[in-house]
Amino acid sequence: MTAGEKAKGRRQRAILYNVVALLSVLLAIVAVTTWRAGKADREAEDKADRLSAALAELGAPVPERDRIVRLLGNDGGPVCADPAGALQRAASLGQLSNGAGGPGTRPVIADSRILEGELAIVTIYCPDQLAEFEKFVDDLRTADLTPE
Amino acid sequence: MTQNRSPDRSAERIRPPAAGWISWVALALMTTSSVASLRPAPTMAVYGLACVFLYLVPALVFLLPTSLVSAELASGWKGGVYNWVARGISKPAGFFAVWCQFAMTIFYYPSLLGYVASTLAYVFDPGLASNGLWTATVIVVAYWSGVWVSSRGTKGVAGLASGGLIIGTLVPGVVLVVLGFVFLGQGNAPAAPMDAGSLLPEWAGLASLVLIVNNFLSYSGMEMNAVHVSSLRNPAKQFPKAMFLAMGLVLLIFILPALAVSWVVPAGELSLTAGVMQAFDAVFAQFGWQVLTPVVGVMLVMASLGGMLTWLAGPSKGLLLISRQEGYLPPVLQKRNKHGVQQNILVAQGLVTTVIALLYAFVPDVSSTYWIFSVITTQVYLIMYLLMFVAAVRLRRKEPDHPRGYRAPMLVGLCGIGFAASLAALLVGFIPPSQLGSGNTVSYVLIVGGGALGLGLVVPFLFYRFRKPHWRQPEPEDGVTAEPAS
Repeated sequence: MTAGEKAKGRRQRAILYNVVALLSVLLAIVAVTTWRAGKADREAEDKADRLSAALAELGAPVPERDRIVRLLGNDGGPVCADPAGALQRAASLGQLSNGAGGPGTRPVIADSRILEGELAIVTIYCPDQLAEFEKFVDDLRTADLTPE
Repeated sequence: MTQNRSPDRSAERIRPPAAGWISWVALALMTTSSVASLRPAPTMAVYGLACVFLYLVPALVFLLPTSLVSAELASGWKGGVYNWVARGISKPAGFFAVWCQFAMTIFYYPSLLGYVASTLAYVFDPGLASNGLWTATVIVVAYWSGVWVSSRGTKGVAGLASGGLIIGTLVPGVVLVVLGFVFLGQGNAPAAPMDAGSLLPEWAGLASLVLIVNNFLSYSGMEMNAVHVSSLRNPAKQFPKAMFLAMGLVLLIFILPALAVSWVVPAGELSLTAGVMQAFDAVFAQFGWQVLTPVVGVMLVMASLGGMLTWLAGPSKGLLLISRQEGYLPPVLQKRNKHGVQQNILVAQGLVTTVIALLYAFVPDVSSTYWIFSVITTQVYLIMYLLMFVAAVRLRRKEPDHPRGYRAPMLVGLCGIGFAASLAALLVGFIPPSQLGSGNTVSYVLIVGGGALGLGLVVPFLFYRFRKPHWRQPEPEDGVTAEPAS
């Protein structure tokens, strides 16, 4: 390979890296400007209290109310964006898997607790979607893999 | 064959151009990028302190044998798993092994890019996560962009994969762990119990066995980048170093962030649909830093795309090497572009992936079926590991004096443990997972067994059976037949 070809290769890679970096920065800027945290109002606080009580009843640690408000707002945020819809179900099934981060990802018999929390969130924040979500959850095979 | 060539001339031929060299650190980062990510952190955080056990046991019985054995093999023979198995067992077995490695990726990309689409949706507009057009667009654009980048050569892939790992996995991972320690330092009780009694997961019989054994697969892929060993200046010394660095990074990336999430976010607060983004959002919400959530979302996407690049560039390169040598694929699939990249294999793979991805996005009601197919492909991948461990033992016996830059200690024992672990994971793959629900177990076993036989045995056999002598295009510069890696 000649020195000219090497320099050309370096130049092309530099262009590639710069384009990827620029696209990533642009994406991050758009993401920050469109991002909306959970809406804090009276309704959000009431629902956070109800979720805290539900988590306590399940025997789970209860996070601070403010954090639940900031995370789920008054509408459940992303959790309630069509939780029983086909694509969201596909995403959920992907979470019921082993600890792999690459192609070794494989479904397992998941712990029941991971479903209980989401069920509580759907019950409180988007009860209109509960029946369908419960049907999805009931169809799954789970086990008690973590201590109560 | 190249055995009879003078070593000096062979070395000269197989040496890549200077512009094609990559550093061992870059290879270590590529390997880490192809195996580890923050994606499973919330899933494993549910198990609390037991997640350490769930990662360390597979590390001992699968990660260690795989990494050390492939480090020895790659430091002695170029060409990756094809050449190791071809020389240790037979050439058809070598083709079979590299086919299994390649076929495994078919069902990986749609789920990975589906995750990319849902991560971006979380950031921009959660409603997009249930939009098939959005998901399909993200999958197709990201995948074909990856094909284009991969076709520009290994060095660009190495740079982007390394950058993606650092920016999208290491930095957010460190932030997560630091915030976890700050959370505990502020006097908060960890959300999951951290006492000695929580070190082991609850024993729930078959479900626990499935979880522990399937976690062996968390480390699958450690051998994959060995195909790029000829891109190192001193492969015999540098590849083992790259493997050891990758091993350490993979363990840290898997264990520490999962622990940090388990300290800050109660399992009940983690929702399946929002996954790792909700975990980050919950941690940042604790500190009032939620403005970082969208930034981390973009960073996680970069890491995923970097990992995808390594998988695009690796197994298909191994398939190309054997195909050119033995004529196992038609010439059209053996063509390379001016950068020496197997562009037509990538395009053919891309067409199949696009169809699967579109089904994933537009017919997601079949998602349970999709996960069954992903089990089939990991079953097929495990066959490659079985072959690799057998080949390693045979190579030690057949070619004990062949120069190796690194000799794995107690190789036979390591291979025995790795073989047993792979076989156990293969057998556990026949146990129906959550996704099957109350479905018919016999049907599941037949589908998984039939699928693995079809994809893993029948398809490569057909390629082998119908190969043509004039399809062979052996090239000495591939250096995959006899050259030591040093």
